[in-house]
Amino acid sequence: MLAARTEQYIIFRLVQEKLAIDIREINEIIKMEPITAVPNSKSFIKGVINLRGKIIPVVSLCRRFGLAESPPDTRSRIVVVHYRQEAIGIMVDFVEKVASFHEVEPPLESHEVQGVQYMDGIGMCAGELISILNIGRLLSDG
Amino acid sequence: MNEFHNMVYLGVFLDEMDEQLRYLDEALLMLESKGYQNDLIQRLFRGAHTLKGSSAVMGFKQLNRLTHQMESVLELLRGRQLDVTSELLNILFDCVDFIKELRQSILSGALEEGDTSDLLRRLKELRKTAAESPAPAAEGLPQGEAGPVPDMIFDDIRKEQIQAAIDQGSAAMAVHIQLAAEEPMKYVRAKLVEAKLRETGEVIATFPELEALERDAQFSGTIVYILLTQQSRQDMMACLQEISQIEIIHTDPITKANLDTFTEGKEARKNSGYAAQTVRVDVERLEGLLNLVGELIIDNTRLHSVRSRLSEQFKNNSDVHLLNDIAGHLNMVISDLQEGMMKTRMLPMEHLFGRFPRMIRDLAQKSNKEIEFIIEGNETELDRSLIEEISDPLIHILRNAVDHGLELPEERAALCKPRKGTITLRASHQGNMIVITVSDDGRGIDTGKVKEAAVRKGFVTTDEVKRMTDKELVMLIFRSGISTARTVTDLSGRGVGMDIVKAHIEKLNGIIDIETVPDQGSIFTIKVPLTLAIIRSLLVKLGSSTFAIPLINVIEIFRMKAEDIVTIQGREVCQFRDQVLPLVRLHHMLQVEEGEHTVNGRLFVVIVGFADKRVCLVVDQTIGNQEIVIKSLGSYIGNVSYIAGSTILGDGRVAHILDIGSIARETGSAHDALLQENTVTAGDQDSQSEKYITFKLEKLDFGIPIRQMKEIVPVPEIHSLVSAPAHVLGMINLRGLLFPVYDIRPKLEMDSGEQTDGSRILICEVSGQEVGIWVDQVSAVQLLAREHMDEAPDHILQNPEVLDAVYKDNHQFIHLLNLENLLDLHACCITGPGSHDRSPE
Repeated sequence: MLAARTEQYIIFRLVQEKLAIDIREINEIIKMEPITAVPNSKSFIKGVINLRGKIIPVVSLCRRFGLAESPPDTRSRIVVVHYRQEAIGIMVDFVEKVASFHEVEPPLESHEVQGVQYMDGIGMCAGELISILNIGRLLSDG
Repeated sequence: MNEFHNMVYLGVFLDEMDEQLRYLDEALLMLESKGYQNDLIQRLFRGAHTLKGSSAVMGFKQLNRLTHQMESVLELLRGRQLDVTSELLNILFDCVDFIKELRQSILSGALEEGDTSDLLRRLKELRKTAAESPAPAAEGLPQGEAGPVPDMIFDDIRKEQIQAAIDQGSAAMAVHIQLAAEEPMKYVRAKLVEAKLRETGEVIATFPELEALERDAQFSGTIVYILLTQQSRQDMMACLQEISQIEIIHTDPITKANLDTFTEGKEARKNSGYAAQTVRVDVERLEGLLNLVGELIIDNTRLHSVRSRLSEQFKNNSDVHLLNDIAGHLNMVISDLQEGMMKTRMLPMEHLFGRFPRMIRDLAQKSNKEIEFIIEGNETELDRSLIEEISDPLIHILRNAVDHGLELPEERAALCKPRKGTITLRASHQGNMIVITVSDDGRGIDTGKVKEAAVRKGFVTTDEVKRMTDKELVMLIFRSGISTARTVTDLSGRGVGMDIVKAHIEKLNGIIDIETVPDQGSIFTIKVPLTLAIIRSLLVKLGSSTFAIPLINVIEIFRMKAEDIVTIQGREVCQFRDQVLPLVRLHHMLQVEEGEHTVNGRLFVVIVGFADKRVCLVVDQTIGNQEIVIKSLGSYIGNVSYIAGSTILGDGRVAHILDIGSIARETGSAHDALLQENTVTAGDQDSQSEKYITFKLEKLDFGIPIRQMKEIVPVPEIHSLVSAPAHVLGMINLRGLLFPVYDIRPKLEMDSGEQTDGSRILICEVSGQEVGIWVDQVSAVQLLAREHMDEAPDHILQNPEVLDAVYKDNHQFIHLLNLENLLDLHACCITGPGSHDRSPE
């Protein structure tokens, strides 16, 4: 068991699962924007959006995890994180809250869980277990 | 070797060097062609002097010594102690070359100066020959020490002043004063002289201006005071004797008669190049500003789409009207701003073209040819980054023109051409493009030899070559293999480095084209965009996505029937006019779901060009053209095939810009292999049959050869013209171009009919002009076999020359029109009363 931390996380939902991203990695959270697909690019890149005059890529977590994508609705959000000096959007179903975890445990060893290789650990919050995403690994080519 | 290099000033120094080198080159070339001219020598002197001064400051000792020697030689030249000989010119040219090389090596980081001893020796020997030969008469200045006389220019005010003074009986004179060379306080001394002169009269001007003395690197030590005085020359001289350290050279009286000669000096002043008020700015700062302008353009487009939506919704709201006004004004300001920003990055072509006369001269000497080199459009401006890029291809093309294009003088004489060959380099603007043409009046490209070389190299087979059109053959010279150095000698047609030319033009997103006529010469045309950051583009729809095609690549848009697509070796091609072009279905390429892109079974096809390649792109719809700002997709997405970048549209959405280069490269090269098959059929068609577009007027069938057709459009609004004959219906506006529309029925002795749903306007090319022809209904595009064609029966027709032939088979009887004769555009478009008389009322 790792020591308790006081870092804050954004908790969001993807399909049925709750996930968390360290708040220090997040630039902003915006509403869904029209996404322009980029043909012949990496499979998990959903496309690009216009973020106040800058063109930034948007990544689909579902595609990354091999889940079926749900159509965007009014609660859909794009979490803009910074990765190697670039802003990159991550599509999520909806953003729940900001929270901090008392305990963070290492991720499950099991390979049954989808996308486990992109997890940093599992946090406990209000009796729920929430996977913490490792942005670096999530966005790298692997 | 030099310990002190002031790095801060190095950039300024190099710029100055570049400038002075250009002047030197220019003046030397003039000297060579026009012989001795005083102002040329002055210019050379000034150039050498400036370089001497600044090189001393910068610590380039060798350069300093060299320019000093150059100055000495020029001085002898000015004193007429040396004649302008080719030997002298060659040495001076070599010196200039040496300084050019030095500049290059400094640019590349080496601060070592090359060895000047050889040049110095040659310059010294040259001076010796001058000393031995007796100095020709008293024309040389008696004072060897005297620097060049500054330019004297009077503006109108001074001129009047002098005239008035002379009228009142004063004497006007130009007093030439020479300051001692080692005089440390030139300004003070000069002021002293001025003060003394003021005691005797009025000093209305000095050349150069005294305030500029200290700054002026070109100051030679000679100052001219323009004095208006009532006193005699002797009094004035006596007065000046009191000042030490100066030498009075002489005084020139100014009279009304010679007043004008002083004003003529203006041109020399302009050319001396230090008049321009400029600020040197780091290019990066400009880039930053340009980016901001790009943002503004995007926001402006968005603002406008919001504005038009609002004004739809709230037509009567006064605030919306206000918004309209503001948005309109903002639009103007932004476009001015954009233009202004672009201009700051622009350099006149002169910067580039200025290097060429010298190059051509050297090439001409080497190849023993006589060449008249004409440059036009020196003032045309182009983005500075493009100027650098376009330089190499132009050098190649010009070199080819000299080496292979122009014949030797004897050959030319034998062909009844002037001994001197002409090469013309021309730059001009055309919309958002710059067009550079290099034309020569040489022997043209020998397609036969290109053919041989291409076959020998194994690029094409003998059979293939036979079926290629001349144009296709000429384009073969862009194949890399054909242009290797070894083949050039036996090819002896153009070809050196043409692949390099192509590569450069491709990089710039440009187009290159060649026209050549045997024994009359060739014209190379290069089109490149004015700038790389903001471009005009054609927006097209594919499925639900919008894509942008750079307008510079768009050659033509047309619609075609899906049936007209032919599949050859598993690849689709289409025939357009006399070309067979590969067809690309963008949907597959760009992973866009295939929409309903056939309207009435017709496809929108955009023909794009990239360097020498042409490709047809099938799109769902064309939206229009728009100014777009190119943005990168960022390093995370990285390079994506077929996409050059992205942009933001008016609605805020992102649209991708197609990389025409990669599309054309991929399909264009695949297409080459297909040429063979295609041209078999195309060739057969040419000999035995021809494609015609057939249409109906009333109940009769008519045909026009498809090669004359440009486009078929539904009938738009036709604007009537005053005093036009009956067969001219008026003008139509097609995408901003005006075309006259003819009703050919009166000409054919037929009654005019009403417009129906089937009515169309055929845009055709007749006698070199594009005109519209009204028809009742377009029937089909048909291959008509020549064996079924008969000459028009001229004995029963009133004017049989309007028909080329009549086509008849079992089903149809088609009049094949001769539009040239029918419309008779050569006879001043509108034939006058004759046509009226015949037209039925």
